[in-house]
Amino acid sequence: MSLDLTPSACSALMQDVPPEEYRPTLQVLSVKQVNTGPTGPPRMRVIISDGEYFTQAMLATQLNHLTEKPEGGLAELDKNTVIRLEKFASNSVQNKRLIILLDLTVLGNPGQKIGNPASFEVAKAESHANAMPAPIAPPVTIQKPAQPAPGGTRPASMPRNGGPIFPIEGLSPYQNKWTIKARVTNKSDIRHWSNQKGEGKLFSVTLMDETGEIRATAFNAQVDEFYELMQEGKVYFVSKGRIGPAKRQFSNVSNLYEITFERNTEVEPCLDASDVPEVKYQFVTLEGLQDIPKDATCDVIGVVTEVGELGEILAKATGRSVPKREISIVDRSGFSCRLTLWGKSGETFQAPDQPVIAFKGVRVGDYGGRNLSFQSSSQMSINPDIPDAHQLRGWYDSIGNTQATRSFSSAAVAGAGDRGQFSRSELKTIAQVKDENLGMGEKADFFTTKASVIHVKQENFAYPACRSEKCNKKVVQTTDGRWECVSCGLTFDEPEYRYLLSISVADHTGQAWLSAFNDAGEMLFEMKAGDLQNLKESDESQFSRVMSDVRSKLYNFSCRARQDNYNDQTKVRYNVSRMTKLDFKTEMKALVENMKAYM
Amino acid sequence: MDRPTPRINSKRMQYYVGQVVRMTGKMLRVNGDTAIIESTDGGQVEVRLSRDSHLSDDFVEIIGNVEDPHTLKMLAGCDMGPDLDMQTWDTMIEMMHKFPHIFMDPEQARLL
Repeated sequence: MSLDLTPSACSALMQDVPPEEYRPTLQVLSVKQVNTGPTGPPRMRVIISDGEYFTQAMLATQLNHLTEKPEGGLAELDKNTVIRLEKFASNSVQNKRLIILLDLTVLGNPGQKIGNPASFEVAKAESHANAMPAPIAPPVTIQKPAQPAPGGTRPASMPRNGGPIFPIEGLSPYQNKWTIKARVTNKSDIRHWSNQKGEGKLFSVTLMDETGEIRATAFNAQVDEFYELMQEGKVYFVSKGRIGPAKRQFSNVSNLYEITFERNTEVEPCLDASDVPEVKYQFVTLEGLQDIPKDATCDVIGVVTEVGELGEILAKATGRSVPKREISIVDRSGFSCRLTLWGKSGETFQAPDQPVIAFKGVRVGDYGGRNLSFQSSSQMSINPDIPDAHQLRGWYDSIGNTQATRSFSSAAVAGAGDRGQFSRSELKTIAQVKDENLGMGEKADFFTTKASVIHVKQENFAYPACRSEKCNKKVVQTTDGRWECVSCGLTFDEPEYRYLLSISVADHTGQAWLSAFNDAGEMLFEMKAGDLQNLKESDESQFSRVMSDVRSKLYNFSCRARQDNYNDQTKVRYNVSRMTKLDFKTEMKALVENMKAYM
Repeated sequence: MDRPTPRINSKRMQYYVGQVVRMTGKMLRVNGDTAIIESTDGGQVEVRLSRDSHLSDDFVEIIGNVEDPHTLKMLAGCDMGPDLDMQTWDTMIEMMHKFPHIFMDPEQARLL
């Protein structure tokens, strides 16, 4: 296999319009992890060379595994490795071009540097000594910014104070001379407040550049200064704002810090917005919402199938009525979900012709299984020009609109339907349930676990119960052979037998006794308690067979752990509130996700 | 049957020519004594069926000898039901090759 490097590859990659289907052979000169802060996967910076020049590139996170070193050895992608670049992206960051390696093939490692490459950036700078550092702003024909850029002589893409453009990712309270170039992806309404300390008004925006997002808030006088100036979707230079810790209860933007506009804050519109990306989405399928915990936020995209009427709800907190509208969306996972639009977003909502809408930052709730809530910090984009939207449109127009959809509140179908209420986020191993002392506190604890049935106590597996609806209390036999319910006062000829099982379950970490009730019993034995009771009396061997057949069956148990006082003994009891059969497809996917954490 | 049979997908066929492998996939069509299956990674493979093959389900697993990178000579096979998550199965195959000492002779694995 030839390890010849492709000549002039660096200059080809670094062009403004890089060639398509270009697969040059390059040598890696170094691999280094860069600091990305406490969250997110590690990012690897790679120096690539074509033998003549070298330049920087970033490795896409899906290729991170290539840089893992086996004990003491060389990683697949390491110093001096020669690769063939299969797919790459080229982004412009702060007027510098950054190559991102999306897919590559490792060809080999000759163990030494090929050629004597020099830095591509330095060479380029030297040969363009007189070039203008900033690109000329492109002519704006369709939309003019609200205010013309101040100062006519210098190009509108350089900030006034001349400070370097900072990435939003790099902002912290330790920086004071910074300017960011960011797009307003969300602008809130002006809010007035009044409390013991006084009153005031504020508005917030979310600012985004290619490195991240940050929230910025303007108070009182700054509201007047900036509210009209800043518009959603437009790009601005922002500088001299105060950086402080983020107030998480008011925002779900993932940044440790947030900006407060002060008297000397400067905001300038920027005409050259070509290097600031549009809204970034990370879509979850509607089916996947089940695995997202309640109160988390996420992004979804779907086709609007139903738009409800505009209604009103009385808000208990403020005593005012809040407009509310519910819509239904579906996506290719075949699931439909209800989404609630509050306030102005509900009032002004229009969705003709079942459009595709992308939602960013909607909150997940568990009403009816799963529902979505459009908050003040959420965004929606109707029929966005992104590949996900086109795919959805194509799917819906061809087969999606006739497919039966599954929703989270649909009636349970044995084996497949219960998933909607099985909370994977509360999944624990039996060892964790015991170690974490669930149920031993003041309140009940809820958990779910996947375990196998080991044994069912054969004595008293059922009790005679009151036949009246909703009352499942035990009935006592009266002197004339009938059955009386103590709480209802009703008497029956025959009681309805209901399961009251003590089952021993185990997983790979431990064993526990659970108390299960009628629904669980019927799923376990596939017959009613009364029938099993009769079987015990009539056919002992068949009864034994049924009892032993349940052993080793694997289920998902949703449980409630609570302390109970029985006969002066306080013990933790684990009650099964819901038992569901495993849907292997979902379970497999969950296992794969867990495994990925170890790979 | 003295060696374990590695599970592979279509893109690995070229590395196992002359060896016995297991491939799971979706039956696309059957023509007499040949069948075309779609492997878990989407690639199509031709299977020369054994005389006594009686596969009827949509998803099957074939144990066979790799004749060339696109053809498998079936030695045995079994039905895998009407529904199989091909994507997760393919992920499993990749994981098996990544941690081969549990699933096969480590030298049989091919990490691509």
